[in-house]
Amino acid sequence: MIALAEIFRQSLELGPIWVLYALAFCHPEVRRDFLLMGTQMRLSSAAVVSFFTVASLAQCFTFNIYDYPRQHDFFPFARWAMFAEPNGQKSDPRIYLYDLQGITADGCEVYLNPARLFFSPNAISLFSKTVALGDSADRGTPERRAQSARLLRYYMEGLKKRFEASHPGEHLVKIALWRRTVMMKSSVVPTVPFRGPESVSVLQAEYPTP
Amino acid sequence: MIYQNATPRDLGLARIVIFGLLLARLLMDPVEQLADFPVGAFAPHGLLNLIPSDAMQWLLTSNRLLAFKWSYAVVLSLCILGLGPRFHIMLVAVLGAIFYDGLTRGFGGHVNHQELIVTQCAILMLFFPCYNGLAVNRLAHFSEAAATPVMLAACRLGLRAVCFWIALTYFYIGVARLQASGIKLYFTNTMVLNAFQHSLRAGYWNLGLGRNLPNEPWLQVFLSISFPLATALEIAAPLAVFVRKLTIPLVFCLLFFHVMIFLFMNLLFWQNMVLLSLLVLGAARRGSAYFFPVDSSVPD
Repeated sequence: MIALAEIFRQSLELGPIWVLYALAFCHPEVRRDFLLMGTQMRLSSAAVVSFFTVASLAQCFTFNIYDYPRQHDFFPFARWAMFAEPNGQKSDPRIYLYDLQGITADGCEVYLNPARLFFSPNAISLFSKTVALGDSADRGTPERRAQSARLLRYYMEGLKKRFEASHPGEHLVKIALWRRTVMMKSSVVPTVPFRGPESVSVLQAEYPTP
Repeated sequence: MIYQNATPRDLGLARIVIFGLLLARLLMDPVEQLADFPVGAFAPHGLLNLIPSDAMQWLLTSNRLLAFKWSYAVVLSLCILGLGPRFHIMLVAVLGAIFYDGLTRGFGGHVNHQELIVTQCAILMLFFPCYNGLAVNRLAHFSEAAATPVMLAACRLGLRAVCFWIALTYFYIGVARLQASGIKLYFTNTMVLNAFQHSLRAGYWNLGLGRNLPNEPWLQVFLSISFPLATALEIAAPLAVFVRKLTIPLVFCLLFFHVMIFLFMNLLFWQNMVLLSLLVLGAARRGSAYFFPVDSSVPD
């Protein structure tokens, strides 16, 4: 549920955005071209206004942008909000990292990096999904945990297939999601994944040996 | 303002850049590999909810995704060349872009914003007569008539709308950050924590400049100082469209900002960086034609 206060707070963003829109429209050159174009391309002019209106509404009324899966959103419009901490600062100096470990049929351990296994160099969506699902499977409500565990199993199945397709002759018999906690403090050295007390297994899926 | 003397050729060039970006990212992406995921791993979002789930399941096989990829690549190529009935071809291209981004979002949960921005620029281009310059369609016409005032107004407005949208995305981010966090955010180590976290996450790139942040006090100071400056830059970004003298300095700062994000957080916003070139072209576009002669107008 989205709190009313959150809806109110985010809707305040409409103020500066629409002030900027008004300033842009009041610019003599923009207004002149817009009115001129409107004489013959009325639909196009209306479409441009609609585009910027929907974009501003999507910006102000999209909540919890990194949740997965999401029920409602304005896709292909989205909220643009990076490094915006709701409480003004990160209250927790701990950093949670999620690592996917694969165990092959001959007992070797492999690090499964979804961004390397699947997408082009710039698509980062799958590692964001790892974080979103890892967070909710690990620390979410019981309902969210069950849902995230089911989605993670689907996800792991896809990773298994892709790993085996890109590594002919190798088969994965187990995939595990680990959470690694790193404290942000001076002289800290991040630990290696899957080892030590900082790494905790969140979920694992086993597959029959081929 | 930028693009004071824009012609149909300028709008044609913007079309080539935007649809060229869509084609480049498609060709780099082995989208058919998404079929490795079980259908249950796909969660439709927004407009993709309009596609019946049976139809979606039918589509999500390796061969059909490959067929989509190459058909979509052909449509994008037509847009780049400026060939065929403009509105229909571009509408199919825009729907293809939404579907393609929707696949990424449905399987991955979120779409990298640098990819959404290109799709949104393509949506905007749909509303402007961008086949009247640098288009194969124009080869069939040898009209020497001067561009009409309405056509020139549409070209200027189209280019400024696209550039305004590119700048606006930065403005949105700046406003959202100030709204959510206020000023006190800039007196904390939030940026250092974020940079450290992103540099440790498994992504495609692995530059690791942020990995040693806890032991590099001067880097922490640099990040802490640059955080409010970056927010100010984001909020000032729309000025790059309205004050031509500020375009080049602001674009230069935004490019520097993206390079820093890449070095510290392993996130390369290459599509944003290419799109920013449209603002630079707009700043250079004044007086007489800069490298294309003034184009004639042909009804779209």
